[in-house]
Amino acid sequence: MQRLRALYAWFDQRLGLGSFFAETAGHLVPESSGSWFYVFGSATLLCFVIQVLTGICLSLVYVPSAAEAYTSLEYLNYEVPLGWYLRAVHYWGSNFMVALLSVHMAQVFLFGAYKYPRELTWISGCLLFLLTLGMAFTGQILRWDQDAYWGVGIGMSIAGRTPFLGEPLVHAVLGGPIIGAATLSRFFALHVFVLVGLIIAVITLHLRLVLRSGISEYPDPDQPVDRATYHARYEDLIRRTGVPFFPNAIAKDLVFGALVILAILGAAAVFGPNGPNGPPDPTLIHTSPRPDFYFLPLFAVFALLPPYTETVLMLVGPVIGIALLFAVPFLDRSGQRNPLRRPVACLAVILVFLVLGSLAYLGETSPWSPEMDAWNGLPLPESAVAGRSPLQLVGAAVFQNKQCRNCHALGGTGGARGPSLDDVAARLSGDQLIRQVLRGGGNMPAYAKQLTPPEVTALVAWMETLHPAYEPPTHEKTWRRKKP
Amino acid sequence: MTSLHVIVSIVLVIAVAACDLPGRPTQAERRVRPDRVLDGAALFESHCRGCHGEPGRLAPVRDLGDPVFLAVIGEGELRRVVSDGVAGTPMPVFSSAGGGPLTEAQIAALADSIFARWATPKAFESVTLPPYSEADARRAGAQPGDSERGLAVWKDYCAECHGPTGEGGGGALRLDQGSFLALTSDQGLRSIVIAGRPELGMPSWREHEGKPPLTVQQISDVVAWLASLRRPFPGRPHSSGDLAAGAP
Repeated sequence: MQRLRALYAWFDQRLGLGSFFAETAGHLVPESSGSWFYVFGSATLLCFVIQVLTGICLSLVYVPSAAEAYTSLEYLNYEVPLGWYLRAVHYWGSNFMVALLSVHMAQVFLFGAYKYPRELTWISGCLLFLLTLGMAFTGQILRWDQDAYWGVGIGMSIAGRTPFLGEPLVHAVLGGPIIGAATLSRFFALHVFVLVGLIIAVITLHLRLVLRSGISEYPDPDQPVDRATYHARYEDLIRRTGVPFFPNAIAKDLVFGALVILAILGAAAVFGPNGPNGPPDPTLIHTSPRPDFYFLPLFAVFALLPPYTETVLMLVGPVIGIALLFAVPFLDRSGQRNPLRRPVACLAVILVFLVLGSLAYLGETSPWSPEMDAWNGLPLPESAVAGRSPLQLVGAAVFQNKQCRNCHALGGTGGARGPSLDDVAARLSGDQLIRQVLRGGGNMPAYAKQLTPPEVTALVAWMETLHPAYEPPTHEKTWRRKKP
Repeated sequence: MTSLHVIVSIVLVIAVAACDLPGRPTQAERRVRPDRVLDGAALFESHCRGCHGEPGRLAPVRDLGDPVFLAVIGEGELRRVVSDGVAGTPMPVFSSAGGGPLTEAQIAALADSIFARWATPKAFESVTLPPYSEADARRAGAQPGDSERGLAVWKDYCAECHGPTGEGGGGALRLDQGSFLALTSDQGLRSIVIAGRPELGMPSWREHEGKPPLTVQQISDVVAWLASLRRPFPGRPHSSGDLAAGAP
């Protein structure tokens, strides 16, 4: 023991370990900041550490080459003992990291912690947010599957629209004009070296700023921030109620951190890794690629934008959004920090999460995409077949064969791009149905050239039987009107 | 029991438990290229049941789980129909050679699985099955189908449900509509006459109540009669002939 002490003293003298600890972990923080609301930042950092550790382990097996990456992922999933679990922890760690980071940002925003004197802390945090999304995007591409392939394709198509810079940018990222052998290596370098290095650097800055300005006190509605008096008041607060960060304030962080670790390990064990979702082969058109959840809102927005607004909104929109995010401390110059006195801030957070949530739901269900397997994979509901004549039955077969089902649901199954046809006969007469099928209209293509006259006749004969029991088909309604 | 023992046993328990954790990817979840799927049942689900439905359930077209039909068509012919489709009808070409989605091996696996699951060859060992096609019937010594003789067979066997000349009883079962006939091949009509559509209540060639089974010749004749109802311009109510007949 004596020797250990001597050894420590030797190092302490040279490295200043004791004073470093006292200045960082031991520094005094306001007692009110030891709140459950203040645990999300450290939890995000914890996720990052987990990502680094699992990432290093993954890199021992993963082969960053376009030809072998997919195989090495399958090797991890099926051959390496617990390799699948490693992938799952890395995947769920990333999900938790993005989610906790968003919650941390929302909390900081709601508590007005970005206000004087912590503007730079907010800005460095926004940088970390962007870098984390960069990690998420590049990581998703290292999972070299169909989602990754089309993800790069879409990302680069967007980047390629940038005026002047588009083409060189795409060349630089892809290592050529198209996705090729160099592409994956570039994303590997970004994911493993460049972005991680940047994140570590900015985290250091972020923590340095937190130490320098002190952890913000729990917002008191009656004591708004006043630039002239804030420092004196904060120092007074520390003097009166200050407690060392370690072990007092960190206790809740540790408890929450343990819960986060359990949640990540649990989610990884129960839900497993993501994919790899099919080999990244552009000749396999039978695929419906989808980004991971953090990019689903963007995916939905891009799908829903009217074509003529695309270039402007996709290139200018994010710039404005990010600029607004960075500018938050300068746009809101009031001193009030308590969320209960800042209705606009609360509403803004609710609105942002509602919009992102709705868009993510739309992105996941993507009702604008036809369901390409419906026509041959989904049996028709028996109610749409029972009691039909031979002509109507063959019309139902035409309906399936011409892939109408891919866009039009029946009995709750099928695509959602067009309206469901369960009650189509109650809405349209036979003539209207023929017209709609032949000429299309209202987002539906014209099928006149795809259908022979007998096919149209059979199809419409069958569609005229599609009406709910409580509502007669249109031709009966008109007949009744004519002959009361 | 030292702490080392405890740690080692905990690690072992986790390692063993990890083998059966619900998140562990199974081989079944492993993504296979669509052209390498050789599981016949999966291929049936993804390529056939949209129109043919699940066995025993109502569907627009023939139930592929019907053992009579499977016994009559035989596996080789079924493979050919899946490969080449039936021109003019909703049955598409499935072979990749013809632009379809399935390879030869996949079509073989699909047909194998249909026969392995639903065919009952033993039940037909002592049954003389009618020849599947008109050509087979000719080889078996039958004369070419004759529509006049066919009309007589029709009146005897079919008119009760489908009407004296195919115009149907109450319209539900009419077969004389040009569009129905245009979208059904002669072989399709013949298969229905032979194997029936049990899920729709249409009897097979040997199940007509109170009547002897249809002979090989009768089958050819009645199909010839149905084929004679085909119209030159089906599905066009504007052509005067069809308008007069009132049956597009």
